[in-house]
Amino acid sequence: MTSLRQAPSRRDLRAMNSEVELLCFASDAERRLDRAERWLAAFEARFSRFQPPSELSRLNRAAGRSFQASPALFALVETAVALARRSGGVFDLTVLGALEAAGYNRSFNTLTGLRSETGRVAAGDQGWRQVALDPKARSICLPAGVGIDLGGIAKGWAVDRLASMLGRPCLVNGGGDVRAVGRPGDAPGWRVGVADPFAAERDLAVLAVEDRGVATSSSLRRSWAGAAGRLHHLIDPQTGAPSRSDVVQCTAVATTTLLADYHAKVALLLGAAAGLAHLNDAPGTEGLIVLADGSVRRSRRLSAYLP
Amino acid sequence: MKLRKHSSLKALITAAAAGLLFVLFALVRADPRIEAESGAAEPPPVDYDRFFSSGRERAPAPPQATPAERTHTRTRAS
Repeated sequence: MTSLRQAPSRRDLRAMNSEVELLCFASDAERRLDRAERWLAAFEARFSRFQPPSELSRLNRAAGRSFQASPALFALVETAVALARRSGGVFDLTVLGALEAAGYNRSFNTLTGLRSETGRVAAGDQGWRQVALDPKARSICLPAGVGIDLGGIAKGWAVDRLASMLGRPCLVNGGGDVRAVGRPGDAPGWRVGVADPFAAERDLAVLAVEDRGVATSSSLRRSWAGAAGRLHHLIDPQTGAPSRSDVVQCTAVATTTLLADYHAKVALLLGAAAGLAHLNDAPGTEGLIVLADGSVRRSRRLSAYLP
Repeated sequence: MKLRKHSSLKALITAAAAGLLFVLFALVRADPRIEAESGAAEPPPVDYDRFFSSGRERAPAPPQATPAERTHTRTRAS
C-alpha cells in the first residue's frame, strides 16, 4: 500500500477550455501528477471538437462512412449512445449541428459569430438511434451530414480517469466537474461548494462527498447573444434549439463524474418537476436544481451529502 | 497731561493687538489645509473600543471564513 502525505500535492492546469485542479496525497504524488498532466494533454488532442486533427473531428468529418475508432473513442461513443437510450432521447450526442447553428462553432473563448458547418438532425428525430456501432470491428458510422458532441460526458469521463491515476484519497476538478475519492484525513468527506448561478462568489450549498462524482449544468454559462435573443449551449433535442427549461442550473451527485454530468444535463432539460423526479428515481443519484426565479429544489435524499 | 498720555498709550496697545489678531486671522484663512478641514461636513467617527485600549490588548475580530476557505473545491457550470 502506498504511504500517504499529510498535505496533498496540488497541480493547477488549463485544459478543455477550463481550469483543472488535481490534489494527490500519494507519496509519489509528483510522478502521478506528471502522468495525469500528460494524459490530459493527449485526451484534449484526441477529443476536442475544436481541433481539426483530433480523432473526434475526424469522426465527424467521416459521417456517412464507417470510421475505425480508438478503444477510448469507441467506449465513449458507446456510452453516450447507451445514455441517450436510457434518457429516451432527452440527452442526445447528435446535437452538434444544432449547437453550431445556434453559434457554438468554435472554442468558447474565441466565439465571435454564427456559422454552421455540420448538418442537423431534424428536431425530435432521435439522431442517436442512427449511430451505428460495431464493437467487433470497433467502428462507428454516423448518419451522413451529422456530427456528435461529447461535451460534458467526455469531460466527466476524463475527470474520472484522472482520479484513477492519483490514488486514494484524491480530488479532481475539471471546470466544475468533480471527482472525490476517499476522504481527506478525518473529515467526513471532501467539501464541495455548489456555486450560485446568480452570484459567482457565493455557494448555494456545501456537499460532503466520498467516492462520488459531482457535476453542474447551467444555461447561464456559455451563453451568447443571437438574433433571437440570448442563446446557450444546452440544446433540447426535441426542439433542436437551446433549451427553454425553467431550470437554469442543476447539480448532480452520482457514482461517477460522467454520470453526474449526464444526470445534471437531463434534469435541466426536463424542467423542474420532471427533472426533480428524474433525480429522485435515478439509483445512487441526488441533486439540487435552481429555477429562473432563484429558488432552489433538492432531491429527496440530498441531505445525506449535507454536513 | 499725565492722564492724556496714559489713554493714548492704551489706544496704541489696543490697535496693535487688533492688528495682530487681523494678521493671524488672515494667515489662517490663507492655509488651504485649514480651509479644507473647515469645509468638511462631519469629523470621522471615533472607534472608542480602539481608542481606550492599546493595540496589544485589543482582541482580534474572529476571522470570517469565506465559502472558498470552508470548502475543498467548488462545482459550477463551465
